[in-house]
Amino acid sequence: MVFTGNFALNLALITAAYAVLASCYGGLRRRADIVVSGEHAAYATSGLVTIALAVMLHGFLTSDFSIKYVASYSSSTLPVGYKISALWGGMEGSLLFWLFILTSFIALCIWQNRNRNRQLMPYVNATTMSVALFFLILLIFVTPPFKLLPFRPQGGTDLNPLLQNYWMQIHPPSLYLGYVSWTIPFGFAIAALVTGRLDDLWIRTSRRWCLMAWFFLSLGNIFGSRWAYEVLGWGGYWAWDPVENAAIMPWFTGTAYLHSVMIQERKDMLKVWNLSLIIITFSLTIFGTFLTRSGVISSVHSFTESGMGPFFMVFLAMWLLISVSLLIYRLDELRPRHQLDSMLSRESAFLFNNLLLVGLAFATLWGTIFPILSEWVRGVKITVGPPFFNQVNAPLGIGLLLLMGIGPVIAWRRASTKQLIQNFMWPTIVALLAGIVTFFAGVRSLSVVLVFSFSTFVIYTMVVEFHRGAVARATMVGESYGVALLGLVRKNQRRYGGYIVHLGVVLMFIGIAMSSVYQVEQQFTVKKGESFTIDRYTLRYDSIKEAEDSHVARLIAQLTVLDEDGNEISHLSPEKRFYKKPEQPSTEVAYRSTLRDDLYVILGSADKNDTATFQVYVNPLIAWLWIGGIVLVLGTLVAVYPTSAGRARERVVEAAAEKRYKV
Amino acid sequence: MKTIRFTLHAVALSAALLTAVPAPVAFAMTQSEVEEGLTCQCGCGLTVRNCNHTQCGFSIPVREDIAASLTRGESGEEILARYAEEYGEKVLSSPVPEGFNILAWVGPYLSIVLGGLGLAFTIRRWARKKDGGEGSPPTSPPVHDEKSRRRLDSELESMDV
Repeated sequence: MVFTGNFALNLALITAAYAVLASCYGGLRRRADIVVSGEHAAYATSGLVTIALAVMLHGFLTSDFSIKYVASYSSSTLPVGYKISALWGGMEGSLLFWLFILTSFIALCIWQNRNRNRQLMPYVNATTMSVALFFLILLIFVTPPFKLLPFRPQGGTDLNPLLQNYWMQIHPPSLYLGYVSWTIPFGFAIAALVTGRLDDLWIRTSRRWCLMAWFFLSLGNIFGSRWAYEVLGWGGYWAWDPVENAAIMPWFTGTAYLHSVMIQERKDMLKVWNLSLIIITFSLTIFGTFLTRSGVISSVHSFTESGMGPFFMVFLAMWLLISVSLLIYRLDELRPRHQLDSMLSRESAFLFNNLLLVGLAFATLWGTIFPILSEWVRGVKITVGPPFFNQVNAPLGIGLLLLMGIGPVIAWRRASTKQLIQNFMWPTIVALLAGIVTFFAGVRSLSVVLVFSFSTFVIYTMVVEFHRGAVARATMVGESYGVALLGLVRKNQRRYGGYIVHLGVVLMFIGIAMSSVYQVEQQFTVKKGESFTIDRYTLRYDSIKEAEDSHVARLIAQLTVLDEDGNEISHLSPEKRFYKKPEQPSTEVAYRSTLRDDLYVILGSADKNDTATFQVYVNPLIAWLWIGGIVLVLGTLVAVYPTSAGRARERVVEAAAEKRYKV
Repeated sequence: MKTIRFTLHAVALSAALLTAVPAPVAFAMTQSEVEEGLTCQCGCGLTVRNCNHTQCGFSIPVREDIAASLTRGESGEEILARYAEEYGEKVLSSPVPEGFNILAWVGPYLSIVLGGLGLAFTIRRWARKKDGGEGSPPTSPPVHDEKSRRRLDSELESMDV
């Protein structure tokens, strides 16, 4: 089997290299037959990588510990679900999994465009397959996944206990899907630059890929935060670790792109900016992979240090050089045909939204690499941790929240004073009232007051938008209000889906602001039967019990939660776990979640004298962070859900664009 | 005149943003603020306040030391300085805003201020060109009257995608 895996990867290297060369040659010489052979080579690469992945998966499922990678990340007692997720638990497997997703997406993209966009496709194929080729080079020459051990051990080392969690089964695949999907729009952007087809064809063709990339990147970040919250046991969900930063940076620039591209579609401007955003977003996905795998920055999430850092740097530098050169070469053709009418317009609000999003990405990048700069310049190691990122990014985030409210209300092109008063008076009054109510409710943190005030502004404007649209539709079409509301969303999924996403982001802001500023935390050491009080909860330590299976030994504390009136409201069972392979202790937090707050308990230690230490947190409104995440996901699904009317409209626009271009 | 006013606004905005750089703390730091100011050295990558290792050899004694030091009357800044001297700057969870480190704090804001100014100037230049304002060549009379313009705006709004 191992021979098959290695053979498949080596053959894939040849087919991928052929796909790049044939696509470039076929495209430049206008040889359709060679272009198609390049596409077939890409299909073949996808098939071969799938075989290699299947071999690795077979190794895990059959506990073939002769494969070094399987022996390092699995054991015979590991549950089947975790054997599958162990595939991406280490460096080699994660790269193989990444390559599998990438080549599958490339194959899907070629198949989708087999009868259209034929002018762009050779270069889309060449660009995306060059990325696949790069990962194949890493897998064959730097970190081969199918290395054999000189002997076959009885059992494996097992998967890191922190990764033995269901969030870890879905967090990395979501993140990889998000990262990898950005390669396809990047391929289209490069193809547009090479061919000079600089109209919005590449944007329309790659729109769904962009939305999918953004969707999965959002999911990946939300799942990762949830994993940190449930597994890492420090009462928080985001620590601004370099690897977390690597995942959020392309999300910021991708979000900026999704907004600015609307201006190109409407006004045929910002072409250079949109191309730059795609190039930056793709580069950040590669940079993130480099950060996680190069060992250049220490992180709890990073893989073992490897020698692949220089490979990533060369690859990244190569594509940045090509992209920027192409942009400069096409600069004259990219000049906008239209210009903005006024500073007070929705277009301007979008541009300032872009400024803040790119600013957030830059601030995060700056903080992430500053320790390296400091070491180069001063020879002094420093740490840039959560306090820095919170302090720098919070004002930018709050500014973004305000723009999220202004954007949908302000008029396109130019807002007159009358329109401004008409559109902004009530939202502003309601937002001010919300701020005052928040202050008198006892909130003294300026950032939290601003978040509540701006969130109210956004929600109010959004509700009014939905309501006005539904009333207008109900009057015109004669539908009931509910049917009109649904019809409104269905008729313009992208717009109203976007509003729902905004609502999700607002809820997340509220959860983040309150749980960050008003978190209550205390440590208690108590004897069995004793109670302790934190915030509005009283907890009674009832008992401790032990449990053990072949995989893990557990120490489980039993706590009863009482409310302010002394009524029992819940039972919590925080655990300490002792994994047998590798021998490693771990905590399993217990929490009671309500819309008002989370009571979050960690068992620190417990001894034979019936004394136990608990670290207890009360995180106000944190549930809204996760609810906001669900709303964001639903909104994205509404925006991308394909309808027959939408597809027909796309076909008409594409045909018109194609005809116009040919003329 | 407009340019001067705009420049003054821009300078005021820059100044406001740059004041976000942390100034020396004038009030007493709490236990959790001092804990948040130190990075745990056990390899968890978290601050001393957030280290989740229940038997951590660094964060647990440091938390106890911070509590005792604050009770003794030592200020938060003094505690942080003491740890920085003992372990080097890397023990502090954010760069001290001095010397080269000022770049860490100013860099993001400066880039946003410069980007914002550039953006504002560009939009204003475009808008002036459209309005036929100072410095721009005379333009032909507007194609649409106010009524048509309002209609166009309303149609654009309804087409909103």
